[in-house]
Amino acid sequence: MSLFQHISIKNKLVSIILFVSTLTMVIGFTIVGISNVKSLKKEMHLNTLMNTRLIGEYSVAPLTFDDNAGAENILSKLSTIPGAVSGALYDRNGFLFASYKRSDDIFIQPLYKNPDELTESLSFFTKNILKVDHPIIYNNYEYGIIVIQVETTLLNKKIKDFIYIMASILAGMFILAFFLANRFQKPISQPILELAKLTRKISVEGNYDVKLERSSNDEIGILYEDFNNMLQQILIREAARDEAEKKLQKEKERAEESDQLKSAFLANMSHEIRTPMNAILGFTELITMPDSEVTPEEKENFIKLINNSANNLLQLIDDIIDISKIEAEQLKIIKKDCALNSTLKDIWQSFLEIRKHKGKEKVDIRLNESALEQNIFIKTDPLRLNQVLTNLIDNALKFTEDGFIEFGYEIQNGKQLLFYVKDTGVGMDQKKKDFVFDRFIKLEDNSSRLYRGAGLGLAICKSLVELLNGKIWVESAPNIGSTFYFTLPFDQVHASENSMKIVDVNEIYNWHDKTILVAEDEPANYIYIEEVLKITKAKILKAVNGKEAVDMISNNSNIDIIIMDIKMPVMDGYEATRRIKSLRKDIPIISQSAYAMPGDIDKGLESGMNDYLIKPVKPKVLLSILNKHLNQLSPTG
Amino acid sequence: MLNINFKHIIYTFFKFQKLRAILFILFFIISFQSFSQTNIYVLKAVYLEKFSRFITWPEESQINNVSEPFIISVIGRTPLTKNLEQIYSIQKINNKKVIIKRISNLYEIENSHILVIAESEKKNLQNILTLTKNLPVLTVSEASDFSEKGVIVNFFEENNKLRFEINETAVLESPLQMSFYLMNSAKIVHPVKDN
Repeated sequence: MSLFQHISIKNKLVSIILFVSTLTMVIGFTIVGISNVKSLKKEMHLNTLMNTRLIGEYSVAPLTFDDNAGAENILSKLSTIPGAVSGALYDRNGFLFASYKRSDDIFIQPLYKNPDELTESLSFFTKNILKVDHPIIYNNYEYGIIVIQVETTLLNKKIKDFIYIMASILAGMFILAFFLANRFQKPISQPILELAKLTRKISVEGNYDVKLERSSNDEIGILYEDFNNMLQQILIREAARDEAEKKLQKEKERAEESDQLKSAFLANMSHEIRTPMNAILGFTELITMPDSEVTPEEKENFIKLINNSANNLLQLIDDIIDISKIEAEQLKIIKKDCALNSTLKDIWQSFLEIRKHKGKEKVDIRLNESALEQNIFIKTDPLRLNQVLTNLIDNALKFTEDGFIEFGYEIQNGKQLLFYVKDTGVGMDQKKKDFVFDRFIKLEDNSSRLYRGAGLGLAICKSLVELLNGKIWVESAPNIGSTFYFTLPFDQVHASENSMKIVDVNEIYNWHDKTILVAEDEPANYIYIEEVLKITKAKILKAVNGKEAVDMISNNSNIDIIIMDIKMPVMDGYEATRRIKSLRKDIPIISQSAYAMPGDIDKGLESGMNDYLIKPVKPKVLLSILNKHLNQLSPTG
Repeated sequence: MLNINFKHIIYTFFKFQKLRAILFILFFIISFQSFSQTNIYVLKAVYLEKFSRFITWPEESQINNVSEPFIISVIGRTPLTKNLEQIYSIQKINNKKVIIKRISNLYEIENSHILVIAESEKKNLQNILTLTKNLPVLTVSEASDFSEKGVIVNFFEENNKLRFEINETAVLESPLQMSFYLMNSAKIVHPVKDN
């Protein structure tokens, strides 16, 4: 059987067919042969028996009339019967009466038995001789016994001939069966060989996008179909796997990138925070040194530098908060009616101021005059639009030493607004343009001069513009300048200007009849607010936590307005506000917090606060907000 | 007790194997003597019974009727008659009692199954044969040329051995039927020609 395992299917099939057909033939031939031999033997037996009877009957008369010669004459006829060896005729007493022998060397035996015992023919088969003893009975008279011996060699020869013929037929059939089996095994072995070939091809090439042609409806046909289905499934699975792999790869890349960026960010931040801190701490120390010989002009200059550095620091922190909000998808777009022209004008004016602070008076900042002629209101988030433009102009200012910065907008097809900020700065090449909007990317020029900034401004701009359903891009040439473009949907409204507007006028307020409660646990902050409010001559009360503020309100009905810090010990600003509002519903509460995350403001408004300020609070802003609420409270004052 | 086959008698009486060889030789001497000398007529008489085994008589001869006798008629004078009477006083033919009739008149032939014609009837042979020609009677003789003349069976001696000849034409003309085996043992006279 192990030999059988190593041969090919084709040979297996041929062997099986040959084995079965040969076995069948051999069995068939054996059966036919045996029956043939049997019938031959029987035929010979019957022939001999008949001859014996005939001769016996012929011998009746010679026996009757003691005619030995006649009997001999009859027996001599045996010579014409092929294979007859001898014949003997015994009379009814058992004495030999007449005999015949083919050759002289044959011995005729006397009858060693009583003739009366023999009532019917008896046959004896020995190796080569068939002997028949037959009683001669005629008309009920017993005449004697005839014994005839016949050679069976003739039979043996016949059997031998028969075997030879059968063997040659068998050989012929075997050869025929071999050829036929070789021919007819193909429909079975061929598809299996094809399947094997294809499987090998698949395993070598790894290509599963192949198919087997089904040619039959038998088990192999079903196998082919199942195989095709399997290949199809493998293909589908492979595609899914590839996709998942790609996705994972992307995720991995992103994770790696993110990790890299975080590292870069940390390194950057460390540098960016230290730089302004250095200036702030250094100059304040110079100013506060007891034996310093700083002139008042120098002092003023130092303070300006300190202020500038602090502003930079604040800007950086704002940027970080914004980018983290964007990444966390928590940045909310609050669309309002926005007076486009006044917004642009405000920005222009503030930059004229900023330019001075930065010492870039050489740079001319222009607002495109054509834009000013139109008075357009659009629905957008003014705060974010302001932020984008401010960032872009700030960026332009950073890279421009002389020349100009121009910004403005135009309406395209009445559908969208195209804003632009053009500068004559260092510009950049194509390579840098591709990732200028990526986070933490900073532009460095050939002189390796490091520009200030965390590399977040443009990334924030891009995200904000996209949140406002617009697009941002840059056109630039090195040493000629850059132009940043962004679009916004032109969603025009005809509404009055009701957006929050900060009055940028140096007004002197007089609140000598007002009492302001400042709830603030941090002494430095309280001192700052006290200093700002000094000029208004208002009466200022101090509470160091929420609970104290509540107590003071319940004891003092003269308090007109409250400035409430959110994060305080004992009782926080939200809780205090709720309690105060339950005592005096109409008293305005303005929160001030370093919390700039969205939700904090909402939470404050929810607890009953009327307005909010975000630290650091600029004096002008604080005064303007207080003014707004005090006026509402007592329009006559 | 007389029987044609002495060998058989001896054999049945003495079944002892050892005695067989001695008895065998003794018997041969006796039988040879009797056969060649006196007992040729005994043999002939016995042969008549044996002939009857190979011959079929027509139904009219009452051959199968056991109550009717088997009749052997003898015409003329011959020693055979005495032997016939001796033997067939006991011996039956076809289970029938045998009657031996000595006849002188030809008309007595009727109802006979076998007619033995003695040599003494040589002159009268043609008349006898004319009469028996169409009768179911087996004619037997013991004269040299009787068979030529139309007798069906005729005994003769050859090499000291009793033989018989058969006139085939006479058999064919007779209402009797004769077995081929009998003719095969006999010398055929006047064979029937195939034409």
